[in-house]
Amino acid sequence: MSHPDYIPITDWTVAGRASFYAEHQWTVQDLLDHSFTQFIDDGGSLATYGFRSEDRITEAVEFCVERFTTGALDGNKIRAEDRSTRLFTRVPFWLVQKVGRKAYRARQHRRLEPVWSDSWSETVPDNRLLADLRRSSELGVVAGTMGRTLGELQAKTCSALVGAWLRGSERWRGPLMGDLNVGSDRTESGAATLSRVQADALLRFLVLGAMLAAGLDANAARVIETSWFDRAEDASHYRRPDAEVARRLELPGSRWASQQRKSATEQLVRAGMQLAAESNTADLWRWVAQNSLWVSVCDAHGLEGDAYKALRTALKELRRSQGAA
Amino acid sequence: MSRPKLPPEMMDDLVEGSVPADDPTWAVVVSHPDASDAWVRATTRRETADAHARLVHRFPWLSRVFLLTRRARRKMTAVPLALPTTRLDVAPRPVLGLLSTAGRRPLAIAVDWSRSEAIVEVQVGDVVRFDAPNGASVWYHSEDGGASLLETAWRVEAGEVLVAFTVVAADSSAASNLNAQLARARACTNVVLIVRNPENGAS
Repeated sequence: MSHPDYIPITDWTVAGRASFYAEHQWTVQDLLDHSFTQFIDDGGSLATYGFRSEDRITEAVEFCVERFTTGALDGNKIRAEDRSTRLFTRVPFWLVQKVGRKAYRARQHRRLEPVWSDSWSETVPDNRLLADLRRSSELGVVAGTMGRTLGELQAKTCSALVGAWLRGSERWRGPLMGDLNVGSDRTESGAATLSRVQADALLRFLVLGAMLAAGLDANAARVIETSWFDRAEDASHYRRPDAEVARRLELPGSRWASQQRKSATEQLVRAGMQLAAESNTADLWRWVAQNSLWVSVCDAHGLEGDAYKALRTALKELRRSQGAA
Repeated sequence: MSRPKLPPEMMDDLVEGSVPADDPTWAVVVSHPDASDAWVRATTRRETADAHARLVHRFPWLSRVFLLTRRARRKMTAVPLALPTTRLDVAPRPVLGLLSTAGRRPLAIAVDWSRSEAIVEVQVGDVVRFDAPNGASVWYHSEDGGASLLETAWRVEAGEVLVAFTVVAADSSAASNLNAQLARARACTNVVLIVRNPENGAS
């Protein structure tokens, strides 16, 4: 299915593409030019991919037009949403076209080499759990585990939620990764609370990484999976409405789905709190749990009123014990 | 030691969802101090591209204006930020008594030379005043064509849906056409007026 903001491209033969270009040439050039301009403005390098003339953007646009109108492009190998003028806004797609998939990856890795380190920094963390974690695990393993979970969160939710997780986790990701600069400029100003969406993102990340949903009964697990982790076509909403969950799972109405979701959410939060309070093992997910459970997650999921008073109190206590309330 | 920035093309791939969860790129992201800001920049690029596409798909003639200006900007060597700020003042005016101006305030638009385009929503009857510095000229564009703006103001008429202006700062006087003017320009930028309720001006 093509994106509603863009014009579909239906004929992917060379003649079909040339004809499409003839009809929309100014739009095509403008979308490419606009996207490459944004790419450069945000620090991208076209020279890395072989565009080295004085006006690299125009050179890149001309390459893309040439490639689109005369090159071998298989529409079936292009993502459905990109089989439209949206393709001309996809800078990475055209960079791959320029240098090939393998060289594209190699260039990225070369640029990232100075970023990546397999060893912990020499700064010893004050936190005992962190210090134990460093002794028992390698940085590459910890970052790999966290990275896979974040990739899973992106695949199962939406980019807005991943952005919220990256922001919400700054204060504890830095110390965990041995880079005390991460989030250091925000730690003081945002120490007491997190936004609802950030707290929600932290909880969902924890649920995925620590596999907390495995402790739910089958019905509750299905509701959580459908409500939280079934990526929607519209990536802007980060939770499927209860009415739609009820319809999809053929449940007896949205109120029932809502009750199931709230009950399951409480169980997941409590499972996370239990993990945070577990024995002194140097477990990554214990550290994540200690830092990922906030009272505002109750607001995000409508866990309000007397029924959830004890839960909120327990979360406040957890934050106090972690020195953030 | 500060770390190199995360490449924007890598972040675009991640935001687009085209990188598998087990790809090592994700590990780089979680351990990078700039990851959160880089993610915001990538999602903003996506949103900006979508918004731009919506605009030029609705008004395909705008693409030529944007292309012309962006290509000209890349050839300019002057530092645009050193130029004085130009203001466009949008003042609501009654049109034959049909449009109430009660509660509406004049809108001032600062021309940002560092950006290639700005988009502003106006209403029928609004008067856009160009307070351009010496040596600056204003060119208007519509679906039917464009020309140098001889007056210092543009009143938004009923039926106008969108009007684009190219503001050009040059050391010499205005040339006979925009291409020639851009060739001698020190800076240029576009201001696009989108008219809300273009038929009757009702708010």
